[in-house]
Amino acid sequence: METDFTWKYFGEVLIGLFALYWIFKFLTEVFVKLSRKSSTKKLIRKISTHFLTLYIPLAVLLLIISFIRIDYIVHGIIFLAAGIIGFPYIRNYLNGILIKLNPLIETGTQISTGDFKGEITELLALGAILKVPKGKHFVNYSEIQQHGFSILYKEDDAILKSIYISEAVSEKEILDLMFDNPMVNFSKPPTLKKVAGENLQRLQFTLENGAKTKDLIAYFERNNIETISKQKAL
Amino acid sequence: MIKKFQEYLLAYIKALKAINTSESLTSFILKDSASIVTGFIEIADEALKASFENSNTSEAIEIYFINYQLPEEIKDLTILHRNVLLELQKTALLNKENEIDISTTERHFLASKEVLANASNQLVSFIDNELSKLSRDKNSVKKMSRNLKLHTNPWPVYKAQLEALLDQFIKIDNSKIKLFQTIPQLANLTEIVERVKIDNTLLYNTLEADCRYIKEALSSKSNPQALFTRIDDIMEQLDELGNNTEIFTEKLQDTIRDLEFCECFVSAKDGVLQRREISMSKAVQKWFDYKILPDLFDLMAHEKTVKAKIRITLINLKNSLLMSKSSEQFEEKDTFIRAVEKLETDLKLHKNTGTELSEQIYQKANNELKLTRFVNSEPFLEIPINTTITSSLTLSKNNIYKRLRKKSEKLISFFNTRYEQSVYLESFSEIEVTTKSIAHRMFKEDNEHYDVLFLNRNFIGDLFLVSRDLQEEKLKEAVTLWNSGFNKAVLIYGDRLSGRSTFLNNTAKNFFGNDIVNLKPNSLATIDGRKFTTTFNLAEALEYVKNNNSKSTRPAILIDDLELWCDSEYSLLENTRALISFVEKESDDAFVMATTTNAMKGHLDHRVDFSNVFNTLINVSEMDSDEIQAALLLRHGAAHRTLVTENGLTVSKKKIEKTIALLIRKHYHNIGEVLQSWTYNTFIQNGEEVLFKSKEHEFLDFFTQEELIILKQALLFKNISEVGLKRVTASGYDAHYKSAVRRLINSKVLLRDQKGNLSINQVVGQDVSRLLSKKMYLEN
Repeated sequence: METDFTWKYFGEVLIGLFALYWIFKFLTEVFVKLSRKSSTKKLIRKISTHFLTLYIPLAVLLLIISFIRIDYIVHGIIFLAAGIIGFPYIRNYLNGILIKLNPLIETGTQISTGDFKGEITELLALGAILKVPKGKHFVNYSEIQQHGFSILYKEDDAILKSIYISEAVSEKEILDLMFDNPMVNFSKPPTLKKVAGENLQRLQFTLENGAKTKDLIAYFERNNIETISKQKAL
Repeated sequence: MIKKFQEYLLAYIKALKAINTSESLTSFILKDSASIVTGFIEIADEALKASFENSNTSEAIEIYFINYQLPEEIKDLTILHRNVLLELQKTALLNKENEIDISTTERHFLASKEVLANASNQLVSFIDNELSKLSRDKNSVKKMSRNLKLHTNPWPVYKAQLEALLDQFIKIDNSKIKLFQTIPQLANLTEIVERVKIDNTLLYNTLEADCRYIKEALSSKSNPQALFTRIDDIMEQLDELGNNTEIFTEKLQDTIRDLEFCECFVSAKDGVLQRREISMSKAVQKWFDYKILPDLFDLMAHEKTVKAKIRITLINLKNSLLMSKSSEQFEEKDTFIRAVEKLETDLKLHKNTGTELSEQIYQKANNELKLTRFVNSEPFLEIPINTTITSSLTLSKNNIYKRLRKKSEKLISFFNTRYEQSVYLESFSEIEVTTKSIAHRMFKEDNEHYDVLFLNRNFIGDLFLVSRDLQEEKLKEAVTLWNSGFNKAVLIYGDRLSGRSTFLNNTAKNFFGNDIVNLKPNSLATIDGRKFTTTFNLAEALEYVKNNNSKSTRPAILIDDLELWCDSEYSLLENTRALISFVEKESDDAFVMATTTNAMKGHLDHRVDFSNVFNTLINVSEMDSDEIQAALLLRHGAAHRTLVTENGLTVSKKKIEKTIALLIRKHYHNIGEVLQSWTYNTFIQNGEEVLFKSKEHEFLDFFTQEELIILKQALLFKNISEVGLKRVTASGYDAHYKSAVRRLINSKVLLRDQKGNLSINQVVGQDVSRLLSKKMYLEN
């Protein structure tokens, strides 16, 4: 069935969308070059990337719609067929967009999803590449979406650590010592728990990024508090 | 018929011979020659009417001769007359403009007369010869009628031509009137220009004479009074002398306005009369604009310079004379003689150029402002074509184009500079940019006296204090309640530089007068007139206060910067616990006011129940815009300096307020920071002015994780030391933290005080604390 929407319009839409894409890219570059502050530059780049991640699928969708509108039946059937065959990929791609917009996921983040654990090294169109002990592994976005994911470690993010200390040392003494130490992230206050059946208490704490547990242990030792490693303790 | 014409002609020749001036020749041509032609036209018309076929032989011959042969000759003669008339007129013009002498005019007249006479005589003989030739031939009429059968009579064409020629006679004569009118006008213009030359020469001559006189008067020991009056005279005279643009242009306009449209016949080429026409006023105006006025203004500029120089020297001289009148001794005589001599050489130089210029102008006018050139079909009042083009371009619509171009150029250059700046900044690493920023903010020696007004915290007098209404109200309420028996303690907290200490000291003084116990580690404190020394042990100090509190005075205990109460022996936590227990037990007898930073308050709250103990919490982080503005303007006002922009213009009050408002927003209403950043952006100039130039560099995060940990400690505890750091970081110190501390010291983020303690550079404190909050190292 022929409609008033012809190939000519389709071409115009195509050219228009391309033009918009390049104009946006160009403007981004202009604004980046003209801004004096590097923080502004970063912000502009970030906004631009987000915009483009959304723009591209929307533009493709618009193109498909205008293509189908040229001839509902024939083109509709073509796309229906293509859609059925390429459904997993399309779903994958769309999932990818959502995942990329998720602020938790960035390259460099350690995640675990399904059976895989590793650091994200690249975010591609259809899946992410994880650095696993055996090498690099490609994970579909659909899989990530399906299994969910947990962030193991993120740059700029604190990790919970624990050490064991003899029961003889008072809680006040330990926490007061930790209060003075800048390596301890005190906004997540450390906690002490008696380990059942043992003469021990478990100290759970969060360190600031860059701080090392062994330095804290050394700090305790200097203040005459003995710590016991996990293996030894249990 | 032809006989009659021949008679006319002979009479004409006779009359021609009797003429003896060129003027009469002109009028003769206009009148008599014209009448000859009109006479011939009559005859020829008659001949045309007479039928060729129906006449006898002699008549037929005449008709043929008059209509077919003679008109050509008559036409030639008329053209000759016309040309002579034209030349006569030109000679008259030349004569009038004194371009030729009388003898030339005379010679020209005689030659013209002769030419006319010859031509007329030739015509007479031609008529005789042709007529006799025609009448001798018997068959001529037959031949003629055969020949002419198919011809139309040419006479009407000849007639039209002759009439046109006669018309030209009149036109030529008419054009003369306007031309003769214009000549004196042009002469007048030349005179105006000449006047410029005369005035110019007069100016220089007078000035030279004046200089000579002054020099002589100075070198001889004559009465200074005479010299005095003479100087006044010269000064007065000075305005009158020389050329005045306004007068000149006025005169010029008057004359030019009267000029009219001129047309003139310049020559007769191949029998065709050539006409030239010109709108005199337009042409002259244009010519003056491009040829004369530029030079003239140049000349006047020279005159002006000379006058100004003379005036300055004279005023100096006069003042010195006035001075010396009292002292009887004119000591600077030699200096002035030298000055006048210098003036004379200057004058000579200017005179040379002036004379040259004025001569040039005059010559131009004298040569080119002549109708002769116009009449001789020479270039008349010409302007070089490129001047005309550019002038017409600039004068017309191209103004818009020019403006647009200027604007676009400005825009492009703006983008270019922004781009260059951006690329330039990109070439720096983060640490470089930040170091620049720190350097920019650090104390500038030139500004010392000004900056001190803004940066001082401790000895600022009460005059500089601006009240913080909202917070004071809160404190007042607390004090009132405390006075009526409630247990009260106040914690004042806020960001760095937010004015905690100032608020504490000021309000305590207001509410408690002298009943204040100011507790600081390692210093002297007084309670009820009794002095005692404090250590880092707050518990001890509070105990002393408790024991010596007479309960009648009910003092306020001020603990400024609680975080300072810590050393290797007494930790901050111990001291804080002591304070807490004191507040819990004794706050009905003593009003505790403590201050600490936002960050420390948060940090303490994670360990002990700190801020809950104080039942009045006052956050001084933010201050009202009006209050900050008042504080800043108060300090600026005390400096008694004007604020200027880079162009040296005074900044209006409104603009200052706007700038301050911008700073306030930028620094989140933190008073100390606004005052501080005001000093970064102001520069003392010429001792009197303050330049405000907002050129803040960015403060970028270039810190490593270890550095951030150290900065966290420094922000929390204010003063840190390498020993203290080594204590807390233990084994890690040598491995990571040592170099981090050094880097921070090198980049001047950490500064070392006299005691060897390290603290965060005040100028970046707020930036660092904001960065740490953002990175979750500190709580906001």
